[in-house]
Amino acid sequence: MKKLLLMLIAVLWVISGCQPVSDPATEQPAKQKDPDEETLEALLKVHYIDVGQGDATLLEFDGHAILIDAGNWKSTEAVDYLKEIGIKDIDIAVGTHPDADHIGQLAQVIGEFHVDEVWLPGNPSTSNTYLDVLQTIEASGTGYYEPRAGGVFDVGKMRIDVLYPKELTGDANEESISMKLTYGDIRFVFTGDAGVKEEQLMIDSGANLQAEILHLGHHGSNTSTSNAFLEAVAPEIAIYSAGADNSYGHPHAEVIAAAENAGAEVYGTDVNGTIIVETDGSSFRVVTEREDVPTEGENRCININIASTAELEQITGIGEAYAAEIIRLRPFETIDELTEIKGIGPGTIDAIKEQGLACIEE
Amino acid sequence: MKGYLDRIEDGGRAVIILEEQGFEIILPVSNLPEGSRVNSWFHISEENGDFSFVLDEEEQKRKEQLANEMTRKLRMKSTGSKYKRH
Repeated sequence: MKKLLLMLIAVLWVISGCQPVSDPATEQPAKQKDPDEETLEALLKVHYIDVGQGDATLLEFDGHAILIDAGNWKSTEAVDYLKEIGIKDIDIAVGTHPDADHIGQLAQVIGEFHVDEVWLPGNPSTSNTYLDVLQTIEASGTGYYEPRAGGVFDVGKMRIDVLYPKELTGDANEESISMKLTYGDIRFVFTGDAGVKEEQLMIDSGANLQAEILHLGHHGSNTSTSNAFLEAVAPEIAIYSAGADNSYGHPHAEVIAAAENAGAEVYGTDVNGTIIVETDGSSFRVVTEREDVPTEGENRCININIASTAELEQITGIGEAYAAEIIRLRPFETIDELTEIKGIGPGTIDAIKEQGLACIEE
Repeated sequence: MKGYLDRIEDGGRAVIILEEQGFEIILPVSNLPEGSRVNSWFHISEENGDFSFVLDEEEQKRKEQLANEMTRKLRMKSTGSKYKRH
């Protein structure tokens, strides 16, 4: 029934020019309302914008707007979307970390919209994309702030808890600003590209990570979203942002499976287009641009020279014993060299090549 | 051409961004010169579709100085966040 409803919403959305439907007849809370729960007068819409391979999420409520990341440097999808839905003012624009698939259009956002504050982790990058962001902040007189774990912020009725980083170590890529945003009783977690190690630091900090909706880290890559983190967040909905046919094989099958096993329903911008979560602070519903089921990204490469045992075992014909032998004997220069392992013959090599998952990158 | 190493993705794939030319080169990080790291700048040349990379340490240093200087200025001017709960 829920799937049918979502499909109906998706169809109506397309008919109405991809604007979220507001017909009360289609409003169907995903959760039953508890009379004691706080219902906020203004609706919150969280737009997980389809920006191809990159991240951009807009939280829009009661005249406020918070943007978390600004898409890929090569496109204009994030800026175009904000214009399309009529955004003019943004309270906070967060660049979770300086990678060009996250801060790609941040300078344009600061230049073209009225942005009150820009949050960055503070690890300088040498890219022009990053320098443009700093220059635009300076030139426009926009506020600049480096949030740290433990900080609590209020934007209207939205509470923001910063989860990471506690302090900078200089390891720019891993140091993604991570946050939990709470609107009434509905909570959202965002971690940028934070890896499994950083997720563990967030767990160890003792912060309450529980949230109804989790944005899966690093575009659904297995470098993020550990089982421990899933257990701590315990999401009902998990959303990743990735481009169809991206070069990195995002999202990874085991991440989708782990989120589903943890009880979450998974959505992805590559298959569902822009995903909107709507909430009044006590119940929520998910509206997608397209109805589809997330599957593993294409172009996945399990580099046999660096892959873990668990990854190697996803290669056809490779079990625990062969995985251990691969790790003992690597590096390999070609897939064919795997015949050096006793028991792996030409038939297995053909099957491995046909599967197309194993690759060699020294 | 000039480009920089933006990030290293899964499986050791380096993403080199050529902002002026408007494209990315994705290649195994092991194909880059020794000493390459995230934020490295390169002189890049192309021959028959093959790209070769030479570290451009001068450019990297220049950009690093610029980024550090601008970050320092923004930090000095920053009065904190007006949304912070006190």
